[in-house]
Amino acid sequence: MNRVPARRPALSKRRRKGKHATPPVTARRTKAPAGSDELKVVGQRVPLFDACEKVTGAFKYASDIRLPGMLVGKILRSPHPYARILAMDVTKAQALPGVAAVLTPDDVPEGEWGERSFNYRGRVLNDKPRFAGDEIAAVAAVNEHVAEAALALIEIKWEVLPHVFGVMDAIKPDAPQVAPYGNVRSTVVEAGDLQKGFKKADLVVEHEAAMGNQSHAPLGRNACVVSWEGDQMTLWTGTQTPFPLRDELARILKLPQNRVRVIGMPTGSSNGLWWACNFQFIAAYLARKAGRPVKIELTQEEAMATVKRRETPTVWGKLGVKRDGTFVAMHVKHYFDNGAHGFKAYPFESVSDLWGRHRPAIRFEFYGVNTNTPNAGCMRGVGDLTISFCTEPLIDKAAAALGMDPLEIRLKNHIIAGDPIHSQKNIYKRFNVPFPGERLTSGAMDQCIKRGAAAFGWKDKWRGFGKPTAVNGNKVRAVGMACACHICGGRHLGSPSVIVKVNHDGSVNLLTGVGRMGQGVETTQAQIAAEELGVPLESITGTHADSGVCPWSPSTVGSVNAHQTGMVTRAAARDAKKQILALAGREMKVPPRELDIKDGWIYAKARPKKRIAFAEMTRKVHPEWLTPPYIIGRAAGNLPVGRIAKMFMAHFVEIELDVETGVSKLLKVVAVHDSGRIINPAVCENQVAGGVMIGGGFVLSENLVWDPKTGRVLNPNFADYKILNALDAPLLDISFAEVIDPVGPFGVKGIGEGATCPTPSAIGQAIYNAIGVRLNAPFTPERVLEAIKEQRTGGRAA
Amino acid sequence: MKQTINLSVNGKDWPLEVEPHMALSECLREDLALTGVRISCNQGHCGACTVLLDGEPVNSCLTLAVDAVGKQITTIEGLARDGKLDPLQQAFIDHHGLQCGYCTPGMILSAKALLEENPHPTEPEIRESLAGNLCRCGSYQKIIQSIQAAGGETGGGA
Repeated sequence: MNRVPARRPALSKRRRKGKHATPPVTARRTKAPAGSDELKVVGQRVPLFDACEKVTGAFKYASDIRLPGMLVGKILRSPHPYARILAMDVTKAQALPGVAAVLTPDDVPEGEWGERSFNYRGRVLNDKPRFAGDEIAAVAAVNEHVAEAALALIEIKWEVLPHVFGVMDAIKPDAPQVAPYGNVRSTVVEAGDLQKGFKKADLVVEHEAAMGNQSHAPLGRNACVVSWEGDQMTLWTGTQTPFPLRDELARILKLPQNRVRVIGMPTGSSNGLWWACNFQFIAAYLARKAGRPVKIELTQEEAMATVKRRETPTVWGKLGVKRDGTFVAMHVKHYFDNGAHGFKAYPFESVSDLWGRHRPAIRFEFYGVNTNTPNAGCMRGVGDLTISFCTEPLIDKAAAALGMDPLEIRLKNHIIAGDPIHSQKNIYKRFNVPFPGERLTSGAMDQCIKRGAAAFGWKDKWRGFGKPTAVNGNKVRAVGMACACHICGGRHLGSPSVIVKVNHDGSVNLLTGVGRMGQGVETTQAQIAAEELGVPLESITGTHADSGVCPWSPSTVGSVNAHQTGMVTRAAARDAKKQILALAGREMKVPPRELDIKDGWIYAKARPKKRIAFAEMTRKVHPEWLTPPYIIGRAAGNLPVGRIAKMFMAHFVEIELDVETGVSKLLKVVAVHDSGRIINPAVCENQVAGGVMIGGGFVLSENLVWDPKTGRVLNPNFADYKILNALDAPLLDISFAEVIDPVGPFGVKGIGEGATCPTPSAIGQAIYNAIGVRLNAPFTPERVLEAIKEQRTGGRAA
Repeated sequence: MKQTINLSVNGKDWPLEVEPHMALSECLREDLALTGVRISCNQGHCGACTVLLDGEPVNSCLTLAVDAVGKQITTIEGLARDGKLDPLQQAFIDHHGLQCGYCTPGMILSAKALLEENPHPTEPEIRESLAGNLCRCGSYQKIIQSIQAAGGETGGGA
């Protein structure tokens, strides 16, 4: 009899068919494990742990939470891009029947709160709002209609201030200052002597690129529900960063961290949007003032126009190359729009190091600039997507001039395991810790390029730079490829901690502080724990993101979990295993070091037939405790100093561009990724597919637009802001390089963020090959047609 | 002024008192606690709130509750029968036709309507039928594979 209950009836049938059925505790017919090192759980395409809840509708998001006596909170937003509130009269709003509380800037701290990764810095409510949509007051009422009516009754006397929208305007010394601490923050990643580097060059090329305004455009409404019990607060919200949110709430509310309980709910599609966001802070103060639970649920318009968007980039680059294609110097200036409340000096900048095989001199300058536009900050692929949108065409220009093809020049220059990583220097500087030097743990860009080219049929389709693959009437087919790399977490994000509880019946609770946004972390972390502990995956359930229950974790950003959190999950499972083997050793009269656990059996390595079922061992009454033992495995720790993992990827795309309409369609994408060992191929394929769609959408159709006079966002909805849909989705061929990272758990690296990075540049190259003009993104039909027209009339050189 | 209506949801009748302007999506979520009806854009663009009205997929955010009277309403909660998942639901699990899960109920219900009408759809037909259901996680490939697999299963079993 199987005494470990199957978790989900709907899944049990399928899982019984699999290799990893839970061993029967009493029956002894099952073969003993062979004792090989073959992985049992890591590498398997197991279904998502929460798939059953998701397909039945039982899955819960923050918007589904309802508490007794709960009020509805609504936020009043600035109509002006930059203004000062001279007076605010809330008497009429407060007097409206059904209104429980009106919150104004006077009710919140003078000081600013700050998001841990610099995505927001500002007051909870702003008496000097910095963009049209900035939060200035809030109401808690019995329902939405009363709350909205109350907002309309708030009277404000304004002093409208001169504003600035464009990044290049905002860096001018006489520009309006958006924040009290100036508009511009900058950092530099550098190595070697740039001047000397360029002197060695046989060829120097330059390129400048700009991209549009990408919205995270989330599917799913996020909400924040707050309930106070005395001086203790519980907050439910969809967040990727439950612990950093908890920590900052506690700091600004002046509460001990253990009195702020953040229950991180699944976010829906987040892509970097739902971290610590200002509406969560408003909800906390509003509920305290109202004396009742409050729920603020953001509308689609609020989610798209006020929370955050991707930093809008303008990137200039210069590359020095030897005649044989060796890079000797690379200089890049990356300007990015922080919007009104972003506070970043640098994005993730792994691509600074990507082309460092021959130790070129590098200087990558980053300028984060505040403007009176909607908040801007991290979105999936941050930094490396926008940097490579300049460096990839830069490399293409050099290749074209040298008569090399795009694969050859990249294969010659990409970094490999052991190469130095300079982009980490900024991080150490930020923490005032001396830079220990960092080297790359593993890297298989060569595999990504070569395998991708083979799967794509690159040789047959490539006709040369600026040349289409085939022309059929109006329809031009063209191909493009691009590379990128990205981080797999990082020491600066903080040290994850994980608890593995083994219950008396042998079932296991896995506790982590990670955020849940559909990336499959609940499943993949359990796969790591099951593999290390030697138990069937079905015996594990997880509790994540609840700060009152789970141990601290860094923000779930920068593809941190598979590699960095996974390392700690494995260590916690190992700790539990050690304790169980100590007990089993006594029971079996075998030294613990001679025992191992696999497939739910504890066995002697030398004599696999001498064994006891895992769940039988955990049930045995401990002779001193007089209950079965309770095993708590735990670990906290960080990545090793001096070694850093990066993920690598190459994307190959085929497009069809209609020269009469200017419309480009993405037909096919071949993506090969080096993410180390793949924990769950199906999960990773979905992550890559999502990356391609986000990256592809960014350059093909997505662009958030605001009114040039008022700064109000004009298209915060899916009708006017077009994300790619089922008809736009290209054929996808996704595969993985064979790499076992020496640091990651079982050789695992990250995947989710980087998946977006190469697609935009690859499409950019394909557009160039189709029409012979390098365009800024998005490649809208208007822009494409204009370029074709200019080229035909000789107005612009190819 | 509230109206007294009867809604037939997932095979059961529910007496309800609703405002005449109440959207069906809100009514199902708030009054019947069927939170598998997801609301995202609330403007009929994203398809997350898709339910079946007499087997036809509709955006329940654009449908008035009072207009659903006399029709058979199916939400994602009504798809499993006698504790057994619909083949489509099982296929979405097995083939990873989902990530964050927000679009999933709408996707499955749109696919359900398609398969009822066309048990063996081609890939272009599947894509066409999902054009009103957005997935920001970009899981379309595996969603399509899930529907193809379920199409094969229901076709073979029928």
